[in-house]
Amino acid sequence: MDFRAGGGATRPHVRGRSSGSALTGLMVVSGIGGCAFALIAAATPDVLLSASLLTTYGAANTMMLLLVDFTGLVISPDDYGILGHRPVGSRTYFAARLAAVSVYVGAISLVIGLVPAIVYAVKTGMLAAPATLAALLLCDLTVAVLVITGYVGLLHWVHPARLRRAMSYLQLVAAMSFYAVYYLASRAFQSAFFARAGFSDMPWLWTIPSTWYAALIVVAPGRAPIAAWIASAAALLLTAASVPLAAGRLSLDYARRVGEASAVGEPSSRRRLMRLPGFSSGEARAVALLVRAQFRFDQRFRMGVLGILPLTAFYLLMGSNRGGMQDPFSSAGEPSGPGVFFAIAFIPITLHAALSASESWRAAWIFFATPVSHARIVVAAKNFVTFYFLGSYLIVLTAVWSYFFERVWHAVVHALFAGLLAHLLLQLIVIVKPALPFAAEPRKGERSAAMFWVILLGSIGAGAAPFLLRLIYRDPLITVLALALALAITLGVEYALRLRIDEAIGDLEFS
Amino acid sequence: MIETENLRREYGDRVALHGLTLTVAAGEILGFLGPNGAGKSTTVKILTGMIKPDSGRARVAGYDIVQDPLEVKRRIGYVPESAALYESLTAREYLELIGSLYHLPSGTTPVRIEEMLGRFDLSHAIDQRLSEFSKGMKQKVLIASALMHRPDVLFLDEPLTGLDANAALIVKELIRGLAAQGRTIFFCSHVLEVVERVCTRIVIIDRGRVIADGTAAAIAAGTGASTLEQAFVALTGTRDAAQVTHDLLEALER
Repeated sequence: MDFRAGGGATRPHVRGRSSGSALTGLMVVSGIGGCAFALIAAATPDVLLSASLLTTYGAANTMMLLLVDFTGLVISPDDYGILGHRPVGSRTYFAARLAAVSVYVGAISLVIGLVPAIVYAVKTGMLAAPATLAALLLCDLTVAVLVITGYVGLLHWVHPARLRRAMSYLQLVAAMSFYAVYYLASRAFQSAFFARAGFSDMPWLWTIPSTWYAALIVVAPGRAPIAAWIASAAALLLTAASVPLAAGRLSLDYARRVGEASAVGEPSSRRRLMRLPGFSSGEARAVALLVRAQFRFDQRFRMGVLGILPLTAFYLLMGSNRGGMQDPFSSAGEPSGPGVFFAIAFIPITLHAALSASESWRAAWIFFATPVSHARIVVAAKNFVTFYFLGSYLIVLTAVWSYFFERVWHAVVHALFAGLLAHLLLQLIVIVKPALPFAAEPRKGERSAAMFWVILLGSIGAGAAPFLLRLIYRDPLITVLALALALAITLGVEYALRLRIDEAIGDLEFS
Repeated sequence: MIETENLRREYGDRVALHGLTLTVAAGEILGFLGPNGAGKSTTVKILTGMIKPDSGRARVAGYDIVQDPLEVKRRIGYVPESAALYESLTAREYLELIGSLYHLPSGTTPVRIEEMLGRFDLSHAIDQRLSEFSKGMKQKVLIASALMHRPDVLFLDEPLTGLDANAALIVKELIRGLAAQGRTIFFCSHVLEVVERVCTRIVIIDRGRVIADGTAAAIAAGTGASTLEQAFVALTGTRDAAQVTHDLLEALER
């Protein structure tokens, strides 16, 4: 795990960002997940059922983080180049890699399990607390080993870059599943499902290995059915069996294969990029070229942009579930919930974060050695993502709304307001935190206090928007006036943004 | 073409440049040498406008680097030591990006791209992504990108890194040719033989100060050495090279 700060576009005499925040961010996110499962544990009388959910979440979380965010931790393509010619035995390599994986997985597992462990200790006895932590730790470590085994196995047939891309799409699907599970869980809470549900109603849960680890939590206090004892033993056996499996995969031989596979460039398509209207010359053209190429080949950026889709799909699902999406122009029925507007407000935050940081940040020296206006670059980047990413997103949303709303133009006007809100938020984010595209080293879990306020304001705006818009949509004249006002605000903020950026990033240096 | 006066730059407690004063004329090929951490990269970064000096003045191509950085950048080309490129782009797209950043007319850029990549024998790879390029190919793209806009002053930081013998020869001849056209070349390298052969004048800095300035022969003569390499060691070496070598060999025998 390397959470150290790097270089890139910085202010003169300003030290790099602290290394602790990234790890802290990851821990906070995991901790929040743990708290949610502690609530489930408290609300569910059946300990084995809630414990199964907890260990399954821990396993899924470990799998996704290892596959997508920390593939280098699993097995790095650089390893063999550095170690291949040195007298490093496979056993040493295995020990070092396993230690890295264990520290990472252990830290995440303990954070997830801490609060649920307290809940189980209160419910069933003190021994349940260490058992919860042990169950999560063993389950997640075993999953890590299985993930490594599967990952390096696939590398025999698939190029590492292609595999990583496939894994990212898997993450997208997993995110959709996560929201679906959250949705089902919230429905279950509403219908007091957890209060009634019991493990005995769902014996098929025994077929899921993560349930075996959950059985450790039930077994620890000593009062458990025989099936739980057998499952616990199976869990321990599985963990023990995974150690030699890991030894075979975390070897220098595999590191060599990964290194060799990575050394051969992934074949690329020879498609030429056309000039786009509004982005045909100067800084705008440069930004358009770069952003489009990065979207095609920079996995981090692409997934950052596409990552908003599961959240939108989730909110649309929520909206459609409450008797179909309400036409906000219609006087009948309740206003559509703020859900989709939360997703829309989230887009600028996501786009800005995805656009600023990149693995290619070292190449950003070009913005400092050429006669470009940094302000124009930042504005061009903001405009590009607005027109092409936010625009495409809104077109899709308009199509969906057109299906549900009474008239197509209702959907168009609604999407226009949604777009203006998202753009306004993007403008505010750029004012608060202007950044050159792909010029900062990516760091996990970074959120500044200023960004927190932007997110808070965005959430308030998103929450209020559906109710405000219903008032605006009551009268066509008010709608037109409101649209004109929104456009005027956008133009005013754009003017302020251009003034502010020059001042804010005029002294940026590249180091 | 390049004038600096008492340039000073600090990084926290460390002073990288101690009042560097230097003049490089048009058509001159200046070899800028120094041991690691001497302040070479800091000097180049200041002269290319990537960082600002804490104090002192610098003029490049007739413009002050702090007052008119964009005017300076319009007239300079830069090949950095690290061949960092946006590798998601193809060679053609990267040079189009460069053309856009230099605001070249839309009709000029494609012609120059074909021309530059053709000269560097990269026509076959023009639409390949840079991630597929070898180190030498990337270096050629970097050199091409530095020449796209016909700069008056060229800053080259280890420009021969990764190039094969043929390409290196072409670049060395190119440097001489560019100087003959009246362009100024600021050449940083640790390969003293190349510097000695290519550069018309050499400046050696150490700990942020100029410690030698002149032709290779004059610097060597000034230190009583017979080669530039020996002169460099005499001026910047903190330990006797022969003694260090002896100690190392002795350690290996133990």
